[in-house]
Amino acid sequence: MEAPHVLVVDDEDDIRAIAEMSLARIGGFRVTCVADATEALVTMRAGVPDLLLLDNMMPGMSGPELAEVIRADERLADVPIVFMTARVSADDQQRYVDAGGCAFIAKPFDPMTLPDEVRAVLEGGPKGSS
Amino acid sequence: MSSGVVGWGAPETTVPPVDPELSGNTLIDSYSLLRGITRAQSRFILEGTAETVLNELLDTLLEITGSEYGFIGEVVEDDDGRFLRTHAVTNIAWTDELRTWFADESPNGLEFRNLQTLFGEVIRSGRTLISNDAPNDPRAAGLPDGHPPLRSFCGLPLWVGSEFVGMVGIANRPGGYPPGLVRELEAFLGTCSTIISAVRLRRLNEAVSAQAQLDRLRVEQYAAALALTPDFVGIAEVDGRVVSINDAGREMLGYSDGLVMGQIHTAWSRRQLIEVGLPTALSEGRWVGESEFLRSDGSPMHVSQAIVAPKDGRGEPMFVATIARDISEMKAVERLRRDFIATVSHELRTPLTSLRGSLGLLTGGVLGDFSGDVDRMLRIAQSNVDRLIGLVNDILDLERLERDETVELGPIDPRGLLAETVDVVAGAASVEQVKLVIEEDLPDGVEVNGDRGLLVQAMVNLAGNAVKFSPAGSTVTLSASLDDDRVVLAVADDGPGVDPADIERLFQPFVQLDPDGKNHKTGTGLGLAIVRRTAELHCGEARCFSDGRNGARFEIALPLEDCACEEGHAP
Repeated sequence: MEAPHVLVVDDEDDIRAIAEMSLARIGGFRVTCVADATEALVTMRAGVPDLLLLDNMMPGMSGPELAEVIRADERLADVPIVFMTARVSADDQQRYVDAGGCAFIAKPFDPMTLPDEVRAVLEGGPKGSS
Repeated sequence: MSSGVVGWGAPETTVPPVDPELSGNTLIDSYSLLRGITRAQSRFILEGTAETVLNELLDTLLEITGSEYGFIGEVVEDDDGRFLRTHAVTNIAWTDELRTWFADESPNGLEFRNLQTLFGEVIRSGRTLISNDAPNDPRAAGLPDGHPPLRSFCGLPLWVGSEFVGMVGIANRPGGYPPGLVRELEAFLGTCSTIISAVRLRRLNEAVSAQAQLDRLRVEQYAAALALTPDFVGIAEVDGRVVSINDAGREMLGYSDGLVMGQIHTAWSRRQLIEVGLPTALSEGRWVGESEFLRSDGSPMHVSQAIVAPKDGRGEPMFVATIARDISEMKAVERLRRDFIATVSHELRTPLTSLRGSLGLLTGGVLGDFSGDVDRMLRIAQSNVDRLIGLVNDILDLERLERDETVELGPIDPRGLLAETVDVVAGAASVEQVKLVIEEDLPDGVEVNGDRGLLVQAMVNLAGNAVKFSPAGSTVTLSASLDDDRVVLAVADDGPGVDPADIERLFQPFVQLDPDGKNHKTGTGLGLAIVRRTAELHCGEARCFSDGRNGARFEIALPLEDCACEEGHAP
């Protein structure tokens, strides 16, 4: 069986590199990284990923805004979205849920445990993490 | 008999008095008396000088009754009781000292407070007294040495309606004073009463008018001082009608050369003033708070406002004044500071995420194993990045709490809070080999109204500290109990404790104590500040108990009732 495909969307090069290394090397996922929402939509329409790891604050379209576009797209609507964010107040959490997120991972994240958290979402495990 | 006076001696005499009306005679010269009264009344009406008039009346009375000396006085009452103050008195001073005293004091009235005397009996009783054998009268307490002899005495009370205003005393009429005398002196006594009554009324009016003048002066002083302040000063009637606004106030609102028209408060601010500000000021004299003014161009201005209601001598509010200072700049600076902290802290997270991530991958062995020294250095780097992350998180948390926008109240089971706290700190406790124990002593169904996330974080901060400072093998106890109308959440440890002198300081931001001097377990210094702020936002209290030796006990006491304090947010 082919490894799940995770699309990482983050405007920070370093964070993309770390997430990719963590998810690919430790988790064994297939990983694609893009830097913004436009690239993300192009990539997703070319091949629907199994999970989207989405930064909250990005230049141009923000994470929640991109999530809403994806939810409105019939072909992409079912892709689980995990937000990566520094902002985790109760209000923020509600915003991620409203935007269609099914979990969030707080930044700074631990690269050693990130793959497990992603796998938990893919397997329909607990929503949200710390 | 030619005169009723004849045979009328001491009271114990058995000779009955002769009624002058029956005998067709009068005891006194009625014509002289009437002339004296008329003259006195005219002078009093025309000149208004009571003392002169009463002295003339006394002279007339002495003359027509054949008395040697006497007085006309007012009955006055103070805290020590009733006493006599003379308005007219014969000078009978018999020593130089008394003569001086008489000359100094008689213009203002002489005061006689010893009522164990014949005149004192009149003052006490308000009734006529005649004593025609004064030296042997038991009611007289004797005379001071040198006092002219007192053979007979007649004391006549002066009444105006039901008010006992004064008395007339005369002495030493040859042959004594017959009872019928009182009737014949009725008109005379009436005149004296009226004049004394008028003097009293005048004195009362003067006091009222002096008080009014004082009140007016005070208002003028207030107005003069406030008119020159650089703050907004508005004066209004007690009913809220604006009387005046000072120049500074007009300028502040942008009405530099015109009348202030319409509302000067925004809607919420106006409501607050009507419902809270004004009633508080009127009942307690003062209200201080923050409100929002409306400038003439319609823009709002944040002000710190005081409403004062100075009271008059009777305790009634005289007017309402409001003093306000523009604090919009201060508010802007405060906002800037908060935005700055939030932005900086947030921007710090991005590089920290990269640092933490790359170090995590290195120490996790994902990129291969490192030799002892390299591995040790990488772990030092990682643990310090973790500290930095903790600091940034705490700064952001405290900042959010200061903004107090994040409190979301709901019913919470305190037992659940303890369990959740233990889940979070269990890992650290196992590393430190510290045992975590939960003790709860709460009746079923007890809940607090609070923000679950904040309370868990506060308890985690307390439990985390306790674990950090506990010796290996010891126990940290988390408990919940009921104390009157509060639920007390507590964390107790067997660590080195806190010096009682340091306890208060401990809750301030960036304060860290180093109990054993080794400084080996450091935190951000914000954990307890967050605990205190969280407690305050719940109308509760954070506190610490320790004797500085045998461990410490930290508590968060939360009210059972819904939060109604200023800090709190009603659900």
